[in-house]
Amino acid sequence: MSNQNRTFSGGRIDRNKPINFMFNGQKYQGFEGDTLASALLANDVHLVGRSFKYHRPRGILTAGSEEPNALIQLGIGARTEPNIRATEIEIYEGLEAASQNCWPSVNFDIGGANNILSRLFPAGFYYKTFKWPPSLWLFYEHFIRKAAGLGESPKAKNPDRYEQRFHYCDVMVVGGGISGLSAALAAARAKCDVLLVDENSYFGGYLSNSEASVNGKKIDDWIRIVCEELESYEHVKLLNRTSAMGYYDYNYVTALEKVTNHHQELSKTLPRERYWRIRAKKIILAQGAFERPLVFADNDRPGIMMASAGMKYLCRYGVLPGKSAVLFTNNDHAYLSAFEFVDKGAKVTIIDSRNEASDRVKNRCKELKIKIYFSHSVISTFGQKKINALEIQKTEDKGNKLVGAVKKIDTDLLLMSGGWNPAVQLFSQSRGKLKYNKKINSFIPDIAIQDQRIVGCNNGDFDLSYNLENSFQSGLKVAKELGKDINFENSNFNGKEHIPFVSAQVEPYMIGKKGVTKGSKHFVDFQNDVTAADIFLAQREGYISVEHTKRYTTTGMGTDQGKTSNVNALSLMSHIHKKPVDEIGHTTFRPPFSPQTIGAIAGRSVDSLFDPIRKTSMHKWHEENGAIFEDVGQWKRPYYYPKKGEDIHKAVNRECKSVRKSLGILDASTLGKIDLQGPDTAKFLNMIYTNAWSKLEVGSCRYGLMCNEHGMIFDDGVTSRLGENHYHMTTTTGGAARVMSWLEEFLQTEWLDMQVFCTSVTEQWSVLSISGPNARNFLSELTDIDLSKESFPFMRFREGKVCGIDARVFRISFTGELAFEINIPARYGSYVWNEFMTHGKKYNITPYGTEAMHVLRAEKGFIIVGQDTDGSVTPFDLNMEWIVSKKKEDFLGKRSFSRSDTSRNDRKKLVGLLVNDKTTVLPEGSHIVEKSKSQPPMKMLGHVSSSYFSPTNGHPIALALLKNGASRMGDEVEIPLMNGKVIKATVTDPIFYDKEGLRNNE
Amino acid sequence: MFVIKCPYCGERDQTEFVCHGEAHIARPKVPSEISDEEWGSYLFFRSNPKGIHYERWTHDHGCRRWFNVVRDTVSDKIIKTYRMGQSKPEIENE
Amino acid sequence: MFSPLSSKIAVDSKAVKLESVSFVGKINLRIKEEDSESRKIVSEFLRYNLPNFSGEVQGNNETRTAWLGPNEFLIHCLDAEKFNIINKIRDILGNGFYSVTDVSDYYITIRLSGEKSIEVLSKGCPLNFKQYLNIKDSCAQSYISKASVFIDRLADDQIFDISVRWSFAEYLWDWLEDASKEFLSSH
Repeated sequence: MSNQNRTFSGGRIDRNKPINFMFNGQKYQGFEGDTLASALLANDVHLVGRSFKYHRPRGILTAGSEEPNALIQLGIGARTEPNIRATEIEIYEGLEAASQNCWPSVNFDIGGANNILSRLFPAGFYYKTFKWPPSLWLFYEHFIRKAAGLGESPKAKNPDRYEQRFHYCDVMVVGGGISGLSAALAAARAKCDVLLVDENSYFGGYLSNSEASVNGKKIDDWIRIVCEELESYEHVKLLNRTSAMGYYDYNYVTALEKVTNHHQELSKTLPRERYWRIRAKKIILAQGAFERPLVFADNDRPGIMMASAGMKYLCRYGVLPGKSAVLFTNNDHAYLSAFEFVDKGAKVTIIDSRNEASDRVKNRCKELKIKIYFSHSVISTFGQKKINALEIQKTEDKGNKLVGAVKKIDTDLLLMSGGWNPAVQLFSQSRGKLKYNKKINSFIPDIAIQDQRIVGCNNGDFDLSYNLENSFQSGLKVAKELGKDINFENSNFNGKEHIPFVSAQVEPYMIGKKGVTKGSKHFVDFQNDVTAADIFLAQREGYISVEHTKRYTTTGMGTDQGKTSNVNALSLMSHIHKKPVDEIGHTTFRPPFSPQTIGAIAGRSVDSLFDPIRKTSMHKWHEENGAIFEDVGQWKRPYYYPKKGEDIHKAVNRECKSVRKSLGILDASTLGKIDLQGPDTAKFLNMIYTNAWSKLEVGSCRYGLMCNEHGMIFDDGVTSRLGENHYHMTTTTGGAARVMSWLEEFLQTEWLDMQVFCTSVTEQWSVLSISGPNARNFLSELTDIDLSKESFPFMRFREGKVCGIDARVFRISFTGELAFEINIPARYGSYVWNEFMTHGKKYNITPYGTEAMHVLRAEKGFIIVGQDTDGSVTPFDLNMEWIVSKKKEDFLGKRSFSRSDTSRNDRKKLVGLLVNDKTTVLPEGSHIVEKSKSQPPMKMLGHVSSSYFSPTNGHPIALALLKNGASRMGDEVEIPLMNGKVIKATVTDPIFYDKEGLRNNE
Repeated sequence: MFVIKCPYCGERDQTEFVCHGEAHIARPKVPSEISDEEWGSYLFFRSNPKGIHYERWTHDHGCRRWFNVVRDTVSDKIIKTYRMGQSKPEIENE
Repeated sequence: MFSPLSSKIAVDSKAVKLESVSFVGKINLRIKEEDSESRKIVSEFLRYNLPNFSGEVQGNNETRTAWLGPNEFLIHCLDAEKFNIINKIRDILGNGFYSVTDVSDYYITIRLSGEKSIEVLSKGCPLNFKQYLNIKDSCAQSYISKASVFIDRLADDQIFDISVRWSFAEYLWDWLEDASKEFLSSH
């Protein structure tokens, strides 16, 4: 039988549009407009999952985002998603869903034994296992991981699209219930830019589909008319299926919109979800309230649900989840559910924990022949997979004492209501302070920190007419604060609710006859299986602060973040410690409000758009010519260019030899380049670099080291003087942005009078670095610049045409060979590169990558900042005294050179290392010791910073930072390797090739 | 996530900016004449107040200017922004 | 001539148009805020006042100059004219304190237009488009996703020239193209 619990009429479902779906492998039918929860209940499926720890059968507790029990594995394959609330899933044709946390099936779950063994899983179980030896935790972990936990994450890549969107508005209204609509309407009429979001697929909130009315009109008509008016304004945006997730400083709210989640076929272009990043001048919180469960013995069986949820299934979805219902309440308001159930043909018995109710509800009960048991409590429930009976008993002393005979009542549905908790999560995230309200036994917003207002049930106000008018006034007030002209004063909305909310009059917890420590479980937190006994235990064991109780018992730590459990846990603590709840306090609310997909947070930043990939203008050539690339920051740089059959060593050896023998070419475009202009540039460079710049002539280049104020090297490069007041600075590839920011910092914050402007020109220029004995011969064939040794010596700069293109040519060398760095406007970079490759054939022009570049410079003992330095290395440590001016009174870092630590003479110094076996290439980062021992500790002398096989020398070479390096020349040191081998090496000078530097002067 | 009023560009999202720590720490005029202790204090010591804090920010994804911000570290309220070179405004804790 | 967008195919729909703008002259000009004399000289040369405020763009048939900062401007001109203009500015300002730099290849420009262009931008750009770039001849710097950008609004219609560093251009193009997809297909 299908839809056996469906009423004959009513509800916002389209009975002409049946929808087929699968749950736990079985086919069911629901209607358009159903949620998975309502469709399952319509088919009399109450048991939908097993609980987290004890694997107890669980049903559907609520009808909204606060659902702790009915967590579902939704979808299959790459799109499968765990822990989705059945109460929020809108069904579509072909939907597939399954229970989670149960094996082999929800009806027969092996883990259910945990329920019987529950004494082994008390509160703080995890912490207790952590305290034992770690080996025992490893033993437990295996079983716990299998038994605990919720759904399964997908194994395949998520195929969906996720969008993000920044949005600015005057007024953001969170929650589209009656209060939110009223507030939004007022702000909209006052011509504010309004954004109204609601997590449901419809507006109107809790009261939609109810018997309430406004100005004599059915509430649904009022909702429709208000929505139509709001939609008619161009300055208003309404978003359904959109949950505000986080509320941060300066009214910054993130919200997740479900765009196509509820569609059968996901669109190829539309996103599945859209992540809104909203900045609102004013925020009105109208999130309503969550109904609070009651705590009594075995209050977690399928078939036990919140009174308001029962009513919603009945009114909104036309589902009668039980025909012989019991309502257990501590307030008048929940009576409304009983009336609706009787109205739809169910039998209802009311158990009221109070000794009295209002005449209004009592009279109505009389009319409907509903039996009320005042001063009674449910003390136990029965039924394995669904409730079938319960026991009640009379109470005394505010429900703390049970007296008289136990009465058993047969039932198929237990509705419960312990009052309402305003949804203060977002308010609290926004740093708002909460206060405890004794009237409703819950926390309500107190002091707002940000520019916001809280209206309706969210503020602990439950009167319809008051909320309509007060929310409207709030909307007007924020409009006025925003400077809008208001020509109307009140809403003229008069609301009438069937049953007004009357405060809960008893303590919001219940303790069954068996007491909390024996037998039955009194659940406080359904999702994390935390019982009243656990809360008691935590207090006994000394975890008495709310934050400790929370973590020790895990109450409120589930995916629902305790929306239904927190206040009951606090009330219980208040009872135990005989302190008011205010003094117990509450835990901190943190984003997100409900679970959200990581995909939405990542948005478009996945796959090839994960991070920018920066390419030079010659990139295509490198690609087409088989380059293997290396990531240098966001840049892709050719690492080496293997020819057929070559591995990295062979390729790099060939590339190095070609440079030394004839001609190599390197794409050096990624080097940072900064154009400096202004009368004080030389003065500025004198402060920035350690060496002197005053005498650098126009047309000349100079190498410089930059130190930070701690005296540590942080970048290096060549700067050239292009004109009287015009310089061109180069930086390392990785340091480009850092250096630019460093220069600007001093110009803008320290030396405001210094007349220098800096402009980044990194990408303006493609840089082709040619190197080798044939560099001059080759280039002279392609340029009008006189390259002769006399007119264009080493460390000079010239401008002219190269391959017919305006170029800047710098005669500088990082390989130690005769070399030119040719700067070409980027658009012509690949053209000139191609020309070079064609014309260079007769010189066997060889493109080389960063690895060969590293080898070539290491042969010359040239350092690489960030490889041979690490932020703790001074120029003196690198034997670079020659580049530190003694004459300059001041430059950045100078003062620190005389600090006791930087000036001590046993610092690590740059040295060369030659392995005695002439074959081992030492791993970079290896530690150097004087004499190795069989195991640590050993006295450390330093580490290997660069290490390669040198094709030029025919043996490995290494650079190292070694304690007292200068005085250890010729000494033997030892390098213990990871594999246990110990390599002996001799300390040498760090220059392994052309010590006199003749070749680059050729 | 703050909204920061760049003194040049107006109100912009915090993500366009970078914070560079405490403001109004002038580099010693003649570093060679001060003691190691004074130099150490310039290099390493910063205040960490509960309340009013003067700090330097740059509008990196904008005009690239450095400027000063007065922020209450308790409420994260930005009380004032002002240009480099302007003198430090005296602001009392709330 | 080669641009990082050379192989990209333009997106052309009523909702979103995406095209790569071929090289034009782009000159970065720096003059101190207080240096009204130099500003006046350059303004006379350009035949309009240098923009004074954030977001301001000035121009005529020959050049278009945008505010980049209190002492920084971006002059757009014909590619063939850029060196003439740079040299001319150097001539008229002499050895004073200013800087004038060719950045024509440093920036690549992507033109985004169409009814949904602001929506496309809003997916990755934190600017409040009700406040910034809300009229023609206005400009702003910000970022789009992970690339810093300079955006120049050319018309009351939603036409935006987005300039980005050469090495980020391909990333930004791919990003914008992907962000446009939502508006391109019919449902």
